[in-house]
Amino acid sequence: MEAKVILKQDLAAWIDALVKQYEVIAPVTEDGVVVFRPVSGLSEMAIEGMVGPAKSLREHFTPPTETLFDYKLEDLSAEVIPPENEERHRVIFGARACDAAALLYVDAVYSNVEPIDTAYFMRREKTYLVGLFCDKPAWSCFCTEVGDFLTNPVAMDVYLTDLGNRYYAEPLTPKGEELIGLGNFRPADENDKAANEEIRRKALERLPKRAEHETACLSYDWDHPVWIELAKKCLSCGACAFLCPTCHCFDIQEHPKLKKGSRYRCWDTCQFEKFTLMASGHNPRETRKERTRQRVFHKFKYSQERYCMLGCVGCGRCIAACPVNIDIRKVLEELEKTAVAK
Amino acid sequence: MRQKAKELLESGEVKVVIGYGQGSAPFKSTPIFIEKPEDAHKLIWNPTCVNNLTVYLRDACRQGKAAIVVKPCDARSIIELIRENQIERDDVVILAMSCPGVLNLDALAEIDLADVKSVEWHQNGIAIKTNAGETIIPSEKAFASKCLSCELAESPIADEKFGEPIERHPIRSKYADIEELEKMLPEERRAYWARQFARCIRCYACRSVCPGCYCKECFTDKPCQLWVLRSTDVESNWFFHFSRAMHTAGRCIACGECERVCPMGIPLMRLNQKMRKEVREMFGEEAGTNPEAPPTLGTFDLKKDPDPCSE
Amino acid sequence: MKTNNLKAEETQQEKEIWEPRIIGFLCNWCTYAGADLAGSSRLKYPPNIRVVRVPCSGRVNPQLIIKAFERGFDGVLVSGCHPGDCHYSKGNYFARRRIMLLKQMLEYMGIEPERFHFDWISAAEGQKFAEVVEQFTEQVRKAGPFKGVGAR
Repeated sequence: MEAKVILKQDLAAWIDALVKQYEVIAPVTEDGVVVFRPVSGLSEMAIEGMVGPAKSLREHFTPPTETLFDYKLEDLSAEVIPPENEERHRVIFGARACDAAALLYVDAVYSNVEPIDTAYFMRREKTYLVGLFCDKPAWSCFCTEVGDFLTNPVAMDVYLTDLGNRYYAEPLTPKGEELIGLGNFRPADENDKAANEEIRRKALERLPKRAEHETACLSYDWDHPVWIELAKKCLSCGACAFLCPTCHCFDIQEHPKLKKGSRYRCWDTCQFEKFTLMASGHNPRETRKERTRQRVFHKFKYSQERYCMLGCVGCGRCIAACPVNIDIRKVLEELEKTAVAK
Repeated sequence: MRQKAKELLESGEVKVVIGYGQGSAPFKSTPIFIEKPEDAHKLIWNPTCVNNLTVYLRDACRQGKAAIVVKPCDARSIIELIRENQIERDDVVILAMSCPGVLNLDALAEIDLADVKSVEWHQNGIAIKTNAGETIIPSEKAFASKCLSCELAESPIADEKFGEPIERHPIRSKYADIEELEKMLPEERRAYWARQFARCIRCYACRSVCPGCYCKECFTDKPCQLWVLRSTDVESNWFFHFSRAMHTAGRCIACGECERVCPMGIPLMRLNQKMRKEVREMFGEEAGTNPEAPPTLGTFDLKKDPDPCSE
Repeated sequence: MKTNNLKAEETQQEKEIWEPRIIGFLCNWCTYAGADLAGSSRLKYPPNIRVVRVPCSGRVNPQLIIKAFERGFDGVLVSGCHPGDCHYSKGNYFARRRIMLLKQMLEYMGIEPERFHFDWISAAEGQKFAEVVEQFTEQVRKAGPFKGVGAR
């Protein structure tokens, strides 16, 4: 599909056109934190100079808390009230390549199970992604180490690159072409293409080289001393998991109020002590050693074994957010060092 | 400090030295646990040593005597832990550093972090070396906000002190942020907090990192309970944060860790500082000063305590 | 949570004929007995208060009050024995500190001070109990319906 270009002065009009037809979700700055929120126009958005949003797109596909159903009890009968479906189609504007790639992983997770998670797939189907190339990767970014989706984006409809006074736009799907059709775009010329290439090259220079975690992970050591080191530091908070775009574990909870109530699911993480606590009182992942290992093994080893893909997109949020500076890149390095030595 | 750590381990006086080690980036440090004398050289001391390591102290002391590297502000946590019978004074060797202030990572927004080579103290603030050269970030910008109002010249409790006491000239009021909030109408304040707590994702990083949050089982972790819901609606988040603040009343020493680690940028110190201010004004107490004092809310003063229905 | 349908329903009904909803945590030995006395003396006081009997005002964990506001009560009353009269000799002194601190914090969190009241009422003060409830109910009525801690 043919690449196009839009001048920044025309961006507001394009967003307005999108807002008319879709719910537009874009990065906004709230008290100094960048979060994805529904917006009504360009003026609310924090697209320019955004390094990285605090949260991934995860909350827009698997919300932190989601009502599964409400219920009412009447004598011996129960009425189940399903939640209302969001009718409108959505456009997520300014999505990062890593966050989009994470959706493919979560798709794989949900596709493998019966019954189908309709709420998730409905949101997926009704959402279009307008991605934005990361021209300023953060210190914690390592997406190029785990995949090449930064330059070959996946799960997106349009991919934008900031060229200074204009955006370079690649439509990736027919829907993407349709979205571009709503704005004042012109076909990209040789100049634009060269500028685009240059910006990509510069960004890639700052990022690490592709690593072979897919094969290395198979020899990760279950009893590696690194787990003991991590267990000492780790505080068992859920910051890493709750910011992770591929983490998807949830817990189901009830909120009864006499004869009515609701059942909801909310995020949970293997880093919490109670995550694996069983009714018998037994806890197979009792200490932080087992829990930190689970996180790394799940992301790299188990995902590779189950879905033939890595469960990490290298967004680096866990690295930036960790209160005690546990850096997953270093953990992998340690694991692979001994794997090679063997 | 490294020498002392080495000696302590060599003589077998302590089993472990808890300190700061080089993190995964030049502007990050990470907690390390030194058990062998030959590893003592891994200890570092620079403006990136932001963590309050006393959060590890309870577990460490249970294994035997431990030494810990602390900043003056963190040392107050040790006083609190002793005051609340969580550790014995004799179980800990306090290696107190004198601290000009620690790095506020947000201050580096204009610097390309991937380019940073080193972070060092400088007489006017913090010196950041990058490939492009050295930048001096002035104190009022470079230091964490708690450091700008710090009044501690040296550690209030110590076994060994390193570095000279530092003359303090707080350039910011401790209560600057909360005074701004106090001026608002109640309605506005409620909306303010609702907006802040709406962002909370309940990762519990604030709780995990808090040396005062040592309950064996947190009230949020009790299974099958309706007291505090796991859901992230504003109400439940409000309940969680407000309760947590009340639980740390009279014990919070304002190390600011909860606010630092919050991935959603919730200004939790505005809650804690208000609590500290009220405790100080009403009961004349300041957490982290006296290891002998009874817990603030576990005692009373017949004559001096204000009466809530005297108005 | 995505606004609970049931919750919305509830508030809609309540809006039409709003009456302050007040929860009272009363000490078993003094104020609860005082409330009893008010009842047996046929004193009239507004029915807006729902009473929770607690063993002592010292039992009133600040969380109970925080929870009451989280659940959307319009006002909270806490009452116990006069200083010096505590059945457990000093429970109310502990309560005094805690409640004083909580009071300041509630205001700081944006809950109007009119919505919270603390008083010492003894078992003999049936009349005072009726008066306090009467006054407090009026005070809360003036403050209007509590929009909830999540209202923005």
